[in-house]
Amino acid sequence: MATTLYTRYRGETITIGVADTGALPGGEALMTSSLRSIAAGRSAPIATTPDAASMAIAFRPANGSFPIGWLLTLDAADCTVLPSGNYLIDLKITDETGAVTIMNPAIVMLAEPATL
Amino acid sequence: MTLRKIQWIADSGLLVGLTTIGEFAAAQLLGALSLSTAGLTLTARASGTILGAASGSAITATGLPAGLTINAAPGWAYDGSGLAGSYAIVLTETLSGSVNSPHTTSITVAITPPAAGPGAMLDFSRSANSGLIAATRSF
Repeated sequence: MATTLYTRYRGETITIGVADTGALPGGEALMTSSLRSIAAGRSAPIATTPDAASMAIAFRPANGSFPIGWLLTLDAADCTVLPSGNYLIDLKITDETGAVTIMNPAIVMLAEPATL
Repeated sequence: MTLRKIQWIADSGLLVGLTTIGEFAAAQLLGALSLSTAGLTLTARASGTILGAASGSAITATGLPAGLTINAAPGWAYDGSGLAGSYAIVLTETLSGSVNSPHTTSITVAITPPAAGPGAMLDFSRSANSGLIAATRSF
């Protein structure tokens, strides 16, 4: 079961970091990441639930705390139109042979802010 | 075999949600190409190398001025016959299996006539057949 790792506020720019020891600059072309809404009372999206938003993916160099990886970003404007609630997020990787891997998902709780 | 490890960077600062992938061959990325320095400004017959090419890749070019060619070395050669001017060249590198193939690089090459000092460019050569001395001026 996915764990709620991130609490974000509707209307803010969402940034989520991923550590990936196989990340390469330019490898963004092989990655996709989406948010899908989780209905109240459920722990995962219904199969027919469409993507709520697509995350922009950029290579993230290593820093003092984390190895290389990716930075997933959703613009504030795109975040504003999302209803508050829980969203499942993951990262889909397609290698050059066509093999697909989807990483273990996490839950983003999008809360209603005081200031929009 | 090495494992590719993918984890969320949680707000707590911890790495969580480990996903591992048996490491596949790292995708080779194509980078910017360049001509060895002498190739950027051409005045007379010259040759050099194309820098930055990935092993096993193929390179094609468009926009080449007359007299300038590329080869599979990969390299370039200029026979001195081009008209003076500035030329925008596009090099396209392709490599099977590369993430960003084909990859293009734009380069500007200038052709300038050599400085013509009095008599400096006279080329005296002996004709093999007639034994006459011929003088030609080259630009």
